Amino acid sequence: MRRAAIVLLAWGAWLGVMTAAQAPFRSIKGPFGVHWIEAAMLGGAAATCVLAGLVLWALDARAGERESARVLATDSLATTTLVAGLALALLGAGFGLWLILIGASVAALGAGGLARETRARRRGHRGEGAP
Amino acid sequence: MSTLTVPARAAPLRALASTDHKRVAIGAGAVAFAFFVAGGVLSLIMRSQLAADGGVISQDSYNQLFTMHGSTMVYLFVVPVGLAIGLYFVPLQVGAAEVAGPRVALAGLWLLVFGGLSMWAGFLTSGGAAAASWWGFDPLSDSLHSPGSGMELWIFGVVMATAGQMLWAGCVLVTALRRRAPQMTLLRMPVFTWSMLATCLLVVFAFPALIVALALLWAQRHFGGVLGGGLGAVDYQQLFWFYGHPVVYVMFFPFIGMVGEIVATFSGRRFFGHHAFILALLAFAGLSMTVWAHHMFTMGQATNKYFALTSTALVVPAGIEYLDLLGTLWRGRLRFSAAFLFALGFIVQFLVGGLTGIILASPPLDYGLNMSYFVVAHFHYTIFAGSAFGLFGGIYYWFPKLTGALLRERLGKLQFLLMAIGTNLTFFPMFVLGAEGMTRRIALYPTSTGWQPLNVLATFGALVIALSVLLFLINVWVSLRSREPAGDDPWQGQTLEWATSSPPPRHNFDALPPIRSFAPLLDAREAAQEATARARGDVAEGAPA
Repeated sequence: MRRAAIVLLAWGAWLGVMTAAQAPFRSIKGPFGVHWIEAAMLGGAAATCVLAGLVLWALDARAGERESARVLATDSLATTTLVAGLALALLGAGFGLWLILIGASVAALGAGGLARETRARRRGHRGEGAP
Repeated sequence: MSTLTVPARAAPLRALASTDHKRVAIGAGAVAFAFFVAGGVLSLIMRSQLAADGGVISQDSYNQLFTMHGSTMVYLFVVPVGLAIGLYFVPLQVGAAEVAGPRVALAGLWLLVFGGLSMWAGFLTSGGAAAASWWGFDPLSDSLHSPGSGMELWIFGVVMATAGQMLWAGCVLVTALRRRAPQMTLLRMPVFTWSMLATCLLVVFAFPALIVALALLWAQRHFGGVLGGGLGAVDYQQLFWFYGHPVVYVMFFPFIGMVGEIVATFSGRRFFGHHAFILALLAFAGLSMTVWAHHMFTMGQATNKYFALTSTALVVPAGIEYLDLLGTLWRGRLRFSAAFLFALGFIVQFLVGGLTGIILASPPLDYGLNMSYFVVAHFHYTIFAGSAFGLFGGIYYWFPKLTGALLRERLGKLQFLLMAIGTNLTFFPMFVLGAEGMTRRIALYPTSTGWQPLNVLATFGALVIALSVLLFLINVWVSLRSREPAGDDPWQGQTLEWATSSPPPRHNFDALPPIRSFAPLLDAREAAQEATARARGDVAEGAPA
């Protein structure tokens, strides 16, 4: 799996090349010249992609070839609740504090449910590993 | 790796909260298709207005309709449906038991639902829905020119839907990179999985620009001064198009991947130039991140020469991909199923969209055609005549895997015929209208222009498209009510999804076949044929003369 990072590193490098390709156009002065935001956005995407590739590389190197058992949860009502809460809170930014508070409460309920699900999953892992 | 399945809750709850990537994907596809129908209804009203040259709706309503039509089709239909199909099939094609981050994928589904409802809720407000086009340019979208809640709801809705799509893209990307079966190397991944990988790279690295742009727009509406001074409005456009052009390829790559799978299967051949196709896809995806400001050629605030160069360079990877598709068809044993017909429709019609894109990539020509119906025709040929045909091809191809039942082939072929006629009747006249100077986003035009006959023709074509979509819905209804069992592999597929049951179990596979190439099932069939031939040869050698 370690080679997976190559995809991100290569693609990030390709974006970097395309950012560098803007350099010859810097000689054009005036409105048709290179604008800082053009180089910043593309260069930023290139750098982020390379960084993501390096993180993936490090993660894969640490994980090695070990593959642990994976628990497949069939549903997660907590996730749905959390997203509903976040959506309401976001809409509250336009419609008032009351909606933000309702949304935050629902989101907190969902986050609590997610914590519970995570604990249950860990217990499930331990249970499977037990003799 | 072993898997353990946690017992499921009651059925109604599963529909709301299932973390099975297949259920999430089907839910997302259904939601996206519902928005497609809703967006299509808006387009029929707009086309009626243009055919009658006024009198159907007011100019303000027309502005709301084209804004919501474009927004719905981009943010709520084509992008989500492509990602949803990836969410379903990428784990299957790479031999994974599950998508990476199943809860994240579920969150993406609900963000799409809430985002879509938020955008459409604008119609219920006193000022109506957003009316500043699908790009929401400032200052048209500021609180002075677009007052009221409709624009606010649109901003929140687009942010939610886009955030959901980024979550899905992250899940699919990590699945393809880190959850592959042990023998599934990168170069053994099928073309559809690679096309989804390229799609997800674009989503993850380009879509955040839209969220930043919309956050700035919201701040501008509430506090002012954010986008107002200097080049603020231009910077909004830079940010928007940094998202807005890659999204065109997000609406293309999944479907060319689907078409690649369909063409290989129904030609009975291994995909031609697989590795070249992958390289072209990644180069294409990278280049598509560098062409955004060709949407700003006429503004005089972008590096036109650089963006003209990169935009024209897109023809190189596009040409390689077309060569690979045609190379796969060449000398194949073609089976003209509905899926294959739609794939052929994609290949031919997308070419029209692509070639007219070369015209628009040239600043001198773009100055003449910018904001005209020529541009409308161009992108509808890429997105509807191209991608939607690829999508329907994909649906006819993979529906048996999703449901265990075949769609009716005759109805499918009739749908293809109607859709091909309707599409070309609708969008081809727009090239002529654009060349004659008809501006986009106008609800009325002077009678003396002589544009009405072509507008009537385009409206008739839109009705034919609507009929073809209705036929598709009837086909789905009939095929699910009176099922023709498909079996696990009705088409003699080549990739891993055809090695499991239809529909697949929760953990996707009970056992995986050996994976020695990007077409493991074709390998197995060829090996079996070779063994049979060898056995026959042995018999022939040993038989008395």
